[in-house]
Amino acid sequence: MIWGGVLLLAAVLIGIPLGVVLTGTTVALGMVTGFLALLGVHARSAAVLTVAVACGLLQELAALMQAGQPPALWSAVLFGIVVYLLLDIGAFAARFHGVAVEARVWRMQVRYWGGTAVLFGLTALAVGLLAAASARPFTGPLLLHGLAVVAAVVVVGAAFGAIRAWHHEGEAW
Amino acid sequence: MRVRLSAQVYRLLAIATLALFLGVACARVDLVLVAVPCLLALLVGMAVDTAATYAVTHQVSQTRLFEGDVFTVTVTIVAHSTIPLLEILEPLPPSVEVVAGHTHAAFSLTAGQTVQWCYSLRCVRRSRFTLGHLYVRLHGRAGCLMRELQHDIPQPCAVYPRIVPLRRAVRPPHTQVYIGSYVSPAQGEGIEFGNIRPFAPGDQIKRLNWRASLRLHDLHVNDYHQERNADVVLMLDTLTNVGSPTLNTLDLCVRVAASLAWAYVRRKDRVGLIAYGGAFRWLKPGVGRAHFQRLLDQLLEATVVFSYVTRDLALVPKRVLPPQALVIAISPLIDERFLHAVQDLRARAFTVLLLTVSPVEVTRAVVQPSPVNDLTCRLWALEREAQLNTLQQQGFMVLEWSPEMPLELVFATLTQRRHVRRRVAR
Repeated sequence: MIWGGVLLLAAVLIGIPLGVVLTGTTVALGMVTGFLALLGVHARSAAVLTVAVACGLLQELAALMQAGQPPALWSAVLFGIVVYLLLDIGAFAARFHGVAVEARVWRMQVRYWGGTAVLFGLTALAVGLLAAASARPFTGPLLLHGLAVVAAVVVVGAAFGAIRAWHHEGEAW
Repeated sequence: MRVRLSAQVYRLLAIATLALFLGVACARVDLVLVAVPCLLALLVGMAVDTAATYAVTHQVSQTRLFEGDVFTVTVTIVAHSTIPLLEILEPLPPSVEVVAGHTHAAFSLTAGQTVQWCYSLRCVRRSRFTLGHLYVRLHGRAGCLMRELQHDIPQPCAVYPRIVPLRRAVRPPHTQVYIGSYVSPAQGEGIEFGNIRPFAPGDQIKRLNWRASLRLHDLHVNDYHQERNADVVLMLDTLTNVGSPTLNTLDLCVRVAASLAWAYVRRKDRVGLIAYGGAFRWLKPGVGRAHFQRLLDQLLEATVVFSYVTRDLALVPKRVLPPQALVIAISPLIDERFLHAVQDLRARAFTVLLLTVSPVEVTRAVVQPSPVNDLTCRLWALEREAQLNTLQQQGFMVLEWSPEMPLELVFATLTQRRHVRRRVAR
């Protein structure tokens, strides 16, 4: 079951660069990534899955370079979340393969992965917006730029605080 | 407690570094953003993982068992604080196997929650082992930090050889002086009728045979046979062992010895034990359940200690090998030294029963089936048959037992042999 989820995430990891641009290089790198992901799932190895993720990063870079498009914020955030989830879920599945895992553990892990994916995604989005705001030529009033920076910092801090609060209220998970 | 970083930290760090490097090198902010969730996961994982406190207890349903018995292990974990993920493992000795449940489990506990973790084990072979060495890993929710602990709650367990109830066993040729289950040729107190003789002063009135007294016009009394026990010494061959850890000749010999010991102890006989091998061990004959427990403990420790030295049975004290005892030698008959020891005993006028456990079937079960191995085993079986025939011609009582044969059947065949009956008769 969990390995099925890992394979699904690997498919998304391969699909995002292919969605950016479909060339021979991205397809070839996608095939290598897919092969490594399948190998990792078959061998129940988190290390091989990490290599597959690294290959996926190269595929994403190749796609971005070949497309030559301006930075796509949402696509980058989605790709980052998929990378994180693939690494985390893959490591969990490999570590607890063959172990009798209580149903409550599964429920909590799924909620944790869901919650962190949303929070980390929002934080990455905020960082992206901050980067975009900083990269723009200085044309508008200074107050607007200042507010953008403060808003990004607040979002990052709020995300971190929410995670800490979640952790301490273990019963609420 | 040992705290260490999990491999997940290095994986996240590696991917984040790669993404940052590629992003900076190729001037793509997209890849820099890809690294953000991984870096955040690292930051959160290192910041929010805290130590958890708990108590653990370990219980075993039985500590004294026989081969084939199933017992239950119960581990109770009481969380004093919230534990996001607790991984627990109990390594098992090779002499037990899991029947139900798992010996490696993961739990998530809230503060004050109690979890009972049970699994059933089957004892595969005789051994002594200690359960209760628990390895615990406390994972944070993010899985970045691991706290490793080891709990020692020792539960010593003993798995004794399996005992096959024997309704019939070889009757010892001589009885001893203590009360037992055998009808002795000597006359005295008992319930088995022996003879009628004239009344003598001192005879009890209840022994008068009134019918004979009226017919013979004189008082006559009944005589009875005494009921006495016997001495049996089990001589176990610990010189060699053939087979696999799960099926080997030594374990089979030990099972036979345990079954015979139980059969004779139940009949109130004195049972002794000699483990003849590289390490010479013995237990002087005794009666009762406590002595049977001592016998089982000795049999549990029986193991092959390789040695070139041939031990002389003269080393055995006389009280361990009492005169007129029935000696049952249990051996696969692989090492000639054991055969010489048995011949030595016979030369000292002991009644020796040679019960041999066939090593051919045990070896056949271990080796790969092939025409050459099959032919070798058949030749070996023929050689053994010739060897046993020679021993029978020398006057030994020889019984052969193979694992698939019921043990009682071996003793049933003995009673059908006329010459054996003559030797075993009172």
